[in-house]
Parts: sequence; C-alpha cells; structure tokens
Amino acid sequence: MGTVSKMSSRWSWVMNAVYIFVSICSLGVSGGLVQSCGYIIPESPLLTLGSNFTALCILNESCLDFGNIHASQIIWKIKSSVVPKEQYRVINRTVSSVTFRDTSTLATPLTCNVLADGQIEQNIYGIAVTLGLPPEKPENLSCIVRQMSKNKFIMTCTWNPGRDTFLATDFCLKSQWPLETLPDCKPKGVNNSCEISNVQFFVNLEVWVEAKNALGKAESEHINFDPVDIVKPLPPRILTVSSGELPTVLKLSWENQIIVVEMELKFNIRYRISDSTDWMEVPPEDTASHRTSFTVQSLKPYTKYVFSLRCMKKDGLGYWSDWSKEKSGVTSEAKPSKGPPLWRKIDISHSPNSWTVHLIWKELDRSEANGIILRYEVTVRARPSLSRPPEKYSVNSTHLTLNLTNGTYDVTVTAHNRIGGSPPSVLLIPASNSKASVKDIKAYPKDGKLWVEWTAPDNSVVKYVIEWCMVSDSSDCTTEWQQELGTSQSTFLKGDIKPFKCYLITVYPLYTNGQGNGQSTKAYLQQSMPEKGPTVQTKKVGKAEAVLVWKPLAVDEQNGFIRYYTILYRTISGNETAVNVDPSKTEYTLSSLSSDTLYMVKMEAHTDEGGTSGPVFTFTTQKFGKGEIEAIVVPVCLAFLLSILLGVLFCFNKRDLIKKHIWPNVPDPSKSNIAQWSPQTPTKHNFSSKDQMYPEGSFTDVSVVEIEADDKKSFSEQDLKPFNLLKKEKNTSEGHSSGIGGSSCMSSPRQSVSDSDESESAQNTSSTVQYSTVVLNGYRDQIPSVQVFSRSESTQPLLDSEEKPEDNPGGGESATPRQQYFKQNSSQDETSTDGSHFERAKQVTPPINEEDLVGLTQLQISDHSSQPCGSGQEKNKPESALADVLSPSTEGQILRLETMGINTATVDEIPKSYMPQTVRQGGYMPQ
Amino acid sequence: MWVPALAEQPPVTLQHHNLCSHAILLAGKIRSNVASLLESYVERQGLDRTISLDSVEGVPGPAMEQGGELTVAVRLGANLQAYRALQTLLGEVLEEQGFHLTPLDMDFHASIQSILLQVAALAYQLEELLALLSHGRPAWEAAGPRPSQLV
Repeated sequence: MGTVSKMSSRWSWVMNAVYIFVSICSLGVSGGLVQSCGYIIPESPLLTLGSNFTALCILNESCLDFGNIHASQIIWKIKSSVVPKEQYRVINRTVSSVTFRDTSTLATPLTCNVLADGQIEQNIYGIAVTLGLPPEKPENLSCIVRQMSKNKFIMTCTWNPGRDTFLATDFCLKSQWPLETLPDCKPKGVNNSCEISNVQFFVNLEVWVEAKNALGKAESEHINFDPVDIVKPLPPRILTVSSGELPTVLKLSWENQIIVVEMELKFNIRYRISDSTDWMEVPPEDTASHRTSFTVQSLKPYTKYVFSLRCMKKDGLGYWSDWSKEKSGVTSEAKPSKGPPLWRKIDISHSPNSWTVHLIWKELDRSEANGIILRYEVTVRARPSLSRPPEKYSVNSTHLTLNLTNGTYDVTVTAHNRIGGSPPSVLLIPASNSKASVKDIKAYPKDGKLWVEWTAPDNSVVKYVIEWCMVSDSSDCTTEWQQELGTSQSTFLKGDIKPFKCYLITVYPLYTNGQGNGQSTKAYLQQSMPEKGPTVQTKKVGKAEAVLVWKPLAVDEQNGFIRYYTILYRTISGNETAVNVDPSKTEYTLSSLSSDTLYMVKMEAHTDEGGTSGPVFTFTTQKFGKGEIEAIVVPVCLAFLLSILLGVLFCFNKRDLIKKHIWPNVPDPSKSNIAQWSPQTPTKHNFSSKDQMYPEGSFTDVSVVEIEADDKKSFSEQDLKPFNLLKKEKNTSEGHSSGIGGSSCMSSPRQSVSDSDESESAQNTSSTVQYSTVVLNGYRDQIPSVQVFSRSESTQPLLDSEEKPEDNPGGGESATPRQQYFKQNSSQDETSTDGSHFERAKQVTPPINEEDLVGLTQLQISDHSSQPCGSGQEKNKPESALADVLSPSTEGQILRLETMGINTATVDEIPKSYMPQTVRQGGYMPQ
Repeated sequence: MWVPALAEQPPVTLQHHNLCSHAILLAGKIRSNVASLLESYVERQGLDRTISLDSVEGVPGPAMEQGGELTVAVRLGANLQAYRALQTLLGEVLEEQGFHLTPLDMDFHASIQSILLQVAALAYQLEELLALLSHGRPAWEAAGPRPSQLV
C-alpha cells in the first residue's frame, strides 16, 4: 500500500510540473512573442565595484493565477549559484528583493527563479550586471614638442591614466588658449598619451586630460606652458670639418634645423680621435650662444678627429636634441715630436777586430710622427770623435747594417716628414757591456699584458731596452724589442704577445757612457694545461721496483711552466697511487711494488693551470728478484754435481759389488762346444784386420799339446809371458772394436779396457759376444725335448772366434799368443781363432755359473769360467771332456786345446775364461 | 638669467614683459612664416614675384608712419587692427584655397592655418597688452569684431 501511495504522489508531482510549465509557456506565448512571468528591476544595471545593490523581482499577476506562485518561492541566482536566502526579502506576494552589500561578489547574469510545486525550478527573468569603476584622476601630465622637420613640430603629452576601470573609458587631451579652445586630442590605441600636430609657439597653452566612462569622469591638473619651451629640436647637420694653418685646430661648421625666429640655440660639441672611443667635449660655455660654426683647438697634428654636436633652446628650456651624425677631419702635419726608438744587433762572427752592427729603429707612432715620415737620417760617430769624421746615411727603411771596427760609437737617428725632422735618437754602442746590469727581473701577466719588472742598478740609467722572443722548438727565437725611459722600472711588452707561449725577456740598461749586460727571465702571458702528458716507459723492471723514464715535454707542448710531474700507477684492481716528481727529473724509481704484478702507469705534467695526462704504460714486475734465481740454481747445481761426484766415487769404490749385481758375467755361448754343431758359420763379417792379424798360412803347423790340469803349474812364467802380452793386445783391440765392453757402472769402453788391463777380466770378451739363448736343459731341471738354438738380435760384432772363419778362408790360425783360447784348423786351411779366457774370478754369480755349468755338463762342454782358477783339477776336467766330445765330431780336424795364461796367483788377477768356440765356414756356429 | 630678475619684479610688470616678449617673438615668427607663405602663394597663384605688399586693401598702413607723437596704446591698437585684418584675409584665403583653388594642397592649407593661428594668438597678445596698459576692457571690443567670429 505504501508503495502505491508513493507512486501516485510522484505521478501527481510530475503532472503538476508539466502543468506549470505549460501554463508559463502558454502565458508567455499568448502575451506576445516573449512575455515572461516576471521581470527584474533594475534592468542591466551598471554598478560600481564594492557598492551596495538591490534588485527586485516582480511577478506578473497573470502568472499567479496559473501557477499558484508566490514571491516567497523566488530564488535568486548568480550564474548557477544560488544567492543565500538571507539576502532575500519578500516585499509582497509578487515582489522579492535581493540585496548585495558588496557588488564585487556579483557576477552576470543575475536571475530570478521560482520553485514550482516546491521542487521544480523555473527561471523567471535574468539581467546582465556590469561592474566597473569610475576613472581616476590622470596624473603626471607632461608634454614635449618634437621637431619633425624644419617647420613641423609635434607635441606629445603623456599622463598616468590610473587604475583599470573595467569599463570603456575615454581619455581626451584638452588644450586652450586664454580666449580660444583648441581641438581636443583623442588618443589612438592607447590611453596615456596623445599627439598634437598643430603647435604654435609663443602662445601660452593650457593643457589637461579628461577621463570619462559610464560611472563618471575625472580631470587631470591643468598645465600651462609655451610650447616653444618644451621643444626637443632636431640636431644640427654638420657641413664641414676643415683644418687650418695651425696643425692643432679644426673648424667645424653646421646648419641648424630650427629657424632663429622660433628659438635661439646653444650647443654641445664632442670629438674623438678616429681610432679611439673616448669622446672629448668642448667646454659648454664656449658654445652657449647661437652659431653655425666653431673652431676646435688643442688637437694633435696630423690626426683624424671625429666630431658630433647637439643643440637645445638657448635659455635651457626644453630638451637637448640627439647627437648629430659624425663628421671627421684631419689636422695638418707638424714636425715629428720625437726620434724613433733605436737599438742594435751586433754580429762578431767575422773577425775579432770588426763588428757587423745592425742598427734597427721603430717607426714612430702616428701621434709622434705628426705626418708621413719620408726618410731617416743616421749619423755614426766613433769615440773619441776626433779619430774619424762622422758618417751620415739617409735611409727609407728602419734598419741599417754597418761594418765597424771594434770600438765605441755614438749613433743618432732622426725621422723627417714634410714639415721637418724629429729630435735625434741617440744610441751608444760601447766596446763592451761593462756597466751594471739590472737585478731581480720578473715577468708576469697583468691586465691581459705581459709585464716586466726589474730593480734599477745603482747608477743612473738613460733608458732601458727590453728584448723578448718567443721560445719555440720549431722556430728560432725572433727577437723583438722596445725602449723604456731610464726612470721606469716596469713596463709591459708592446707587441703581439700570444697566450700559452713561453717568452724569453731580457732587459739591458743603457747609460750615457756604456751599457750593462742583459738580464733574462721567462714568462707566459697566459698559462694553460700542457698540451699532452709525458710518455712514460720503464727502463728497468725488478721484483719490487721499476725504473721509469720519460722525455721532457717540448716547449711548444708545455703551455706553461711545468711545476711538477705526477706519476700515477696502480694495479688492475688496486687503488691508484700518485707520486709527484720534480720537473727537472727524467727518471724515477717506483719502489715497494708487488712482484709478478701487472701495473699501469701514466704521467701527468702540471702547470699552474692544471695537468694533462700522458698515455698509460703497463708493465709487469718480475717474479724473482735479482740474484734470487742464481741463489737457487747455483746451490742446486752444486749439490747435484756433488752428489754425482759422490755417486761416481761410490760406484768406483764399489764397482765390483755393482758389477756383481747389475752386470753379472754372461757365459759366451759362442764358445761353447756345441758351436761345432752349427751347420754353417755366418758369413757376414769381414774383418780384414783379422787377416792381417792372422795371415794365411800362419798356422801351417799346428801342434796339439795336451795339458793336464795338474800340469798347469808346470808352465813356467817365462813360458807364459809372451801369451800375456798377446792377451793384453787383444783386450785393447777388442775395446776399440766394441762399444759394449764397458757398459757397467757407466764405464766407457776405454775404461773397460783399462779395467781389463787391470783385472784381466772377461768383460771385453763377453761384450763382443752375440748373446743367445741356449736352452739345453730346461728351466729348473726340466729337460727340453728339443734343443733350441736362438740367434741373438744383437748387432754387436761377433767375437773374433765368430768372425774369423770366413774372413780368413785360407788363413790359418794365428800364432799370436793368447792367454787362453781354442784353436781350430780345417781342411780348407780355414782357421778360426778365438781366444777364450777361462776366467776364474770369484765374483761370478753362482746361479749363473751353476746353470751354465749344468748346461754345459749336459752338453759335455766344460766351462772353465765357472771354475775358479785355483781349482786346477776342476778346470782340467771339462777340458778333457770337451776334447773327448769334440774329437769324433770334427772330422779331420784337430782340436787343440791350449790352456794358457794361467799365471794368476791372486783372485783378482785370475784371467777370465772364454768358452771354446768352433767355427765352421759358411754357417752358424752350433750352440 | 633674466627669469630670476623678472621674478623679483611685480606680477603685472612680469606679465607685461612676458606678453611683450612673446608678442615680439610671435610677430617675428609670423613675419618669417608669412614670407614663406607668400612665396608659396605667389607660386601657386602664378603671380608676379615683385608684387608689392606695402598697400593691401583692407590692411591698415604701418602706425609708425603716422608719426612719433602717437602713444604706445594707440600704436598697439593700430597693430591690433592690422592683425585683425590679416587674420580676416588669411581666413578668406584659406577658404578660397580650400574650397576652390587648391582643395587638395593640404600642406598649403596647413601653412595658412598655422599662420592664421599665430596671427590670432598675436592679436590676443596685443589685446592683453592693451588691457594691461589701459587697465580697462580689452581693446578688441573697441577695435571691432573678433577674428574668430569672422573665420
């Protein structure tokens, strides 16, 4: 139910609103084209900002009937903002008012609205409100009459219009004569000035400004003046600037732009030398009267001057004109005011008794020349003057070269122009610079110039000559010079002094009777950072130090005085270390560096203005310091050598024991009796020496001596001596032919020979043996089924016994005595001679000896080497057995066994035995 | 430095002096400007350059010719009358030139207008001087109608 009632009330409200709207509209239409339901009084008011304002909204009676509207329903709005209802007042049923105490809160439009049915807002009427201010009184009215041409003047009056009125405000400049009002002047586009073109002089004019707008009008103060008193005239036009007879005056003439009947003028005249910017002015009192020309005095001869002038009313009323256009003129010539600065250069290279004197002088300044210099006259007088008459020269240039004998001369130079000559410049050329020189010479830049300062000598100086030149590596020092008065103790160099260049400055004092030596200093007009930094290198790099070297910067690169060098070095990851170095040094040693480290170093050259860095140089410190390697290597080498020496000595002392362990005696299989079984003897070897040693037929008659073991001792030593000699020879030859003999204990073959000599060992024999593996009886008492003969792979030469048979096909056995050997004769007279020692050395290793013995026993080959020499019985037994075995197998051959060299009494001296070897021609020896 | 000296004088004397000074200067300026205007006028009108201005119809003759027995006031009155006449004639010339002879020559018209104003100003100054001398009514009332009323 509630919902239905709300819906019905809302619909009724809408219907009422539509009804009111239609009513208002129909009313408006029926009453005319536009007829509102009310209106506001006042209509479109113009209000002063800040004032009070009250508006009335009056409803039409006809509206009241249709809309049931009451004035209390009126709402006032400024634009879209509702005016607070406190400002409303319902006067009666149809009138509502609104009051604003301060119109500055107002805006346009102000509308009167009504709330129909309490909710629908309907606009009744609206007005546009204009807000503004009345004009203020114009202030500071002033006028000026500008001369536009000879007969045309324009008066411009300006004033301060005051505050903004926010309204259209008209300003009007009014003027009048005492009995006549002149036309008003209305500004165009501005509100603070106006121009009057018809200006009449000599009549007082009253001028004022009137400002007027919708809210009121204001009038400035009235000012009275004669327009002729506020004139700013046009400047005069200079006609001529002419020189007169006097070289110090110029006459200026001009034309005034204002006629004298209008006003008389006074003038200001200014002038300057053409190449100067400083104006000088003629005293105003000299030009305070009306005129059209003026003669300016006290000017410099032969100088170009520029003139300008201005004017104003003579009585001082009004304004100065602008300065006129400039006009220039040149004063007349006069004699040069001073002589040219004079100096000399002396070459004494030709001969010791004469000089080449270059006299040089400077051109006079324009202010000193007073005209065009036509020539110079030079006079040279020798001192004493009586010795020679003075020599005179007239030159057009500024130098003169003279060849003079050594001595003192007075030189004078005068400059001449069209008017006359200058005072002479005098220079004394003494025989020697023996006078006092200046002291404490300094040079420094000041005010953009290079100043030189010195302390005068004690004697009075006539003048100083300052020489300077730019020091450069690429060019010679071209000397420039200047003169200064003898009273001065400082000056600046008057020349083209360039910044960043080094100047060598020398000061000479000149006396009336001589000249002092020059004192020099160096200076820069302006310093800068060096053009580049020094290129640093390492001269030597150690473990913890590095010697750096660099070339000093060239003068042209320095751009200033090098105050110090900075060496910057660092490791790749480390901090940079800086060291300042005196600029006179070219080498520096960096110390406390880390070993085996990469360093980066660069160098900066610093002037007073900053430093410039040179290229980066890298170097690596050494891992070891000087002598460290030597300290390590030398002791190590010494220790190594010592140990080797000790080892050699040890080996030497223990050679027998060593030989026993690492170089046991190896039985020579070729000397075994089984060699006789060999079907052929190798034919590879051809030792001619054997032929020579055993010539054919040397063994033509072989006898076999059977020696019983017991009979060994029956040989006298005399009988055996020849054989011992032969044995010695044989051992020596074997040492030469074989490189194996002395392999034990690092002994050389020669050593083995010497060893053999000493010990008569069988090493040489064994070294020449072709080693073979002879498996006769199996290992460890195992009996092999097949006898195996295996040729050694060794390329060592065979023993004589192996080589001999083929080498000596027709040769018989050599009868050369040998200590112990078997001798074999063949039917073809082939003789294979082999000397085998039966060594009876005790140091033969028992296992080897046992095996050999076992094998040999089985082969019925006696091995004497395994038998000690002292055991004669044991020795003889194998020999007997060998003879028994060999006898049936060697057909027609007589095996003769001779046992020789058994003359050893001690163990060491027991000769080594060789196994008997039988060689057959054309085949291997059976082993 | 005449201004301070004049400042010490009585106001009437100072005003008199100023008026005299202005009148003299203005008269000189009028003379200069009229001479220039006459040249332009003769040139434009094609008149003979030897035209005599000693006797122009309607312009009184110089007062000095009438003898030294005349008072300053009388002489000033005669001058005033002459300038009034000049003012009238210049007005006529201006009208004639502007409407008939040289309607487009505005510079010429401006020159005539400038002199016309100066003559009017001089006439006013003469009136003031006469008033100061006679301490009575301005003399122009007796001299005839004001030029402004004529122009």
